[in-house]
Amino acid sequence: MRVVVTGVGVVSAIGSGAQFGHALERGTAGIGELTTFDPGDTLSVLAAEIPQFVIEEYLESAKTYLDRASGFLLAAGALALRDAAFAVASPAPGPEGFQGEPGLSFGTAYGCLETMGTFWGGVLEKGPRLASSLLFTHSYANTPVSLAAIEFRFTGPHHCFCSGAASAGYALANAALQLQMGRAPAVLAGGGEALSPYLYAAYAAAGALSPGAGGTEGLRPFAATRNGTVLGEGAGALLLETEAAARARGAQPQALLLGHGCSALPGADGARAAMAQALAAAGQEPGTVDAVFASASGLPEGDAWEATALESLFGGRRVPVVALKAAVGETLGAGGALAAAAAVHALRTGTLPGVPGTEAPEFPLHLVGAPETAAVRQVLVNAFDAAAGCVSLLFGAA
Amino acid sequence: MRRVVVTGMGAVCSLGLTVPTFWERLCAGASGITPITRFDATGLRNTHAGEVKPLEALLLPPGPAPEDPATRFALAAAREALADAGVVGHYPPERVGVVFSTNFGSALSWERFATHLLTGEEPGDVPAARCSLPSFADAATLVAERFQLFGPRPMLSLSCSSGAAAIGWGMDAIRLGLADAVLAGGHDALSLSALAGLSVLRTITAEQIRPFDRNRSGTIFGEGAGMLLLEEREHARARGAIIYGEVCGAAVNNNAYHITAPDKRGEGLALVLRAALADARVAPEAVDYVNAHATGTKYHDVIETVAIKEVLGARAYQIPVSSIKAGTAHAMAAAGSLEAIASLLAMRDGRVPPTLNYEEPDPECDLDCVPNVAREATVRCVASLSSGIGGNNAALILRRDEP
Repeated sequence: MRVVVTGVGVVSAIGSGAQFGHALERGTAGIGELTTFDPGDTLSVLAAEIPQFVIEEYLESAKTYLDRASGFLLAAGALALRDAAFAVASPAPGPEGFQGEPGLSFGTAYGCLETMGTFWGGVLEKGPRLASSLLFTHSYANTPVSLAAIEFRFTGPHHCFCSGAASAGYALANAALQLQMGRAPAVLAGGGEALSPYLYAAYAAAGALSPGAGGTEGLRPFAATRNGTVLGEGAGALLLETEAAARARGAQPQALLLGHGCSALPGADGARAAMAQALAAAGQEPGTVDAVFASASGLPEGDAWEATALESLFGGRRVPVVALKAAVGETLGAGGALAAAAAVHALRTGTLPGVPGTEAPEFPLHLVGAPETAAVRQVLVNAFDAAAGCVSLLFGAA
Repeated sequence: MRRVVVTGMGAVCSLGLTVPTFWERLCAGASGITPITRFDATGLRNTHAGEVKPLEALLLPPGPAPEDPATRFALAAAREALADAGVVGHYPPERVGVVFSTNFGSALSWERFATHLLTGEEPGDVPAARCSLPSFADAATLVAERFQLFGPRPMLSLSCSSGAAAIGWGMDAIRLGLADAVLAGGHDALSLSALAGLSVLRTITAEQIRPFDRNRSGTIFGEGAGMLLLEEREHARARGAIIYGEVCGAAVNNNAYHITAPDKRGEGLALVLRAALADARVAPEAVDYVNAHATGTKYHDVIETVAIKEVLGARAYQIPVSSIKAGTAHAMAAAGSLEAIASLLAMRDGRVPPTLNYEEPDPECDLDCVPNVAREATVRCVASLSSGIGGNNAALILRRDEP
């Protein structure tokens, strides 16, 4: 059974909807000085923000309250369904409906952190008796995906993965798995994350943000000068369908999801095993891969592990490596979904996206800086997290 | 298709810190609900909960004890499940997955971190510098490192259907060959933030938790962890493992109805049970015990009754349908996995755990809820149901290990 991608939706710092593709082709930068909140007690000032996000531009009906993470995910989901021309046939499933209901599979590292914080601030200020039920309801990690179920009336398999920067990787792999098990004809999958003062402060305190102890601030994947990451926000959604289901409704596949692998072996071993498993699951060899959309986020250790794994997997061949986070920031739970959306775009256009801000790599890698035209038939998409494990997805041209 | 069996179990909850204590006290009709001691519960709708105590008595593997209670519960339950299965060393590390779930992750650490950021004040008991975001993956990472389990490590958060969802994902991972064994289950700790929210939502009773009773008025929350060691059946048999039962079907879905309001027609819960039975290729007539989610809220218990009757038909009236939540309290993400453990032990011992605090029958909840006293019964196949905020539902089908 083959899994096809029939729709893609993105909300990101470099552009949303069709703008995302244009931005990739032009090599637009998404990282700039933080504007929506005070970065606090840290040397860092950069972020990849979506400053003027208006949910009503994406949905049919107005919403009384949404955390930014929920808004991003609903917007990306709506864009993907529109792109796929997908309409849910029956609003209320019949008694035998379980075999045919579309599902959802999304990832987010921290979900609705800002709402959680505001809710807790209210408890501190006014006491538990006067806590806000509205804010509490909208503060769960699974709130965005559950709201998507209601918005799109998707009553099938329902998953929310909180696996740090690997979240969307697990979510996309799970979507393929649910289709393979015959549990749904279609699964809307991806991930989302929102910036907030809490997230920024925690990453700064953990020493994960560039410039760390000093140097120039910036997200420079694989570069010798890398000194930490720059946080971003956004969401990506892909509508995955079985080839048969897509054909039955006359939908045109944009790409294929050929295989996935996941491993939590420590260090470079996990990264290599995830990529090797994705290839093996698809019956492919490293030689057939035309590009890798890397997970590299400018962290000293994580980038080194991924570079080591790439060298080990591809031997002497310098496969083009796209480090998208230099453009869209480290969007954690959205990362793998934004990379997957960019990979599908590359498979459709034969253009590897331009990634501004990349510097000469410390490792023997062919790192894509300016947009490159190439024969792109197969790409690996990596979503790695030092704590939650590594997921790799192999996409192929339709 | 590869089949999946349970060969080890670990439980931490208000009733006990190990599986034998949990099960013995559950069947004896004990309740773990006591006054909250870990934080100041003033202002909550109910100052009682199913607390795990004493924290110091948890049996942890060697190494520093994690500060966060939820992480500690997961580590203790994982230790017990792995020791029970005797599985360490039988598989290459990369063939053993760790599939955990939680609603609130390290919530206590998060509260202190947020307090410091919002007010600039030091939280007092633990320095703010040692606190951070409500990390969801901490426990899985720690357990994997302590026990050297390096297979797939997805972390799920699906409100109160989390615990069952993790077991379902573990089953899929083994079926499809992503792993040969998976440590799967949920963990959560009580926190003022969660209880404040659940209080104002009126999910919590001001009185006592009494599932299926006519005068039920809400649930009581608890905490803990439930961990199951799942193995591919042939591997488990080849190494001579003791098999508690088979996880033969699972499903997870969403009502797609409302973010907090229950869908009174029970369609989502009926669909998930039907989907899990179909996944297991088990007929409704084969089910001989339903371990209900039944939280004791006014709406939920009726909805669940409707859904069970809709799917099992006449069979629903012939079999026990009990809820263990008045004993354990509603342990959030741990609930579904603790209930799976109770279901497997019901099969092993031929004893169905009771629904406590049951006094007055409700004509709308007219199934046999095994009131107040455990009952001897032959149990070959169990359906265990879960649901949670956001409209999430999960169902597991467990049965005796038979060819």
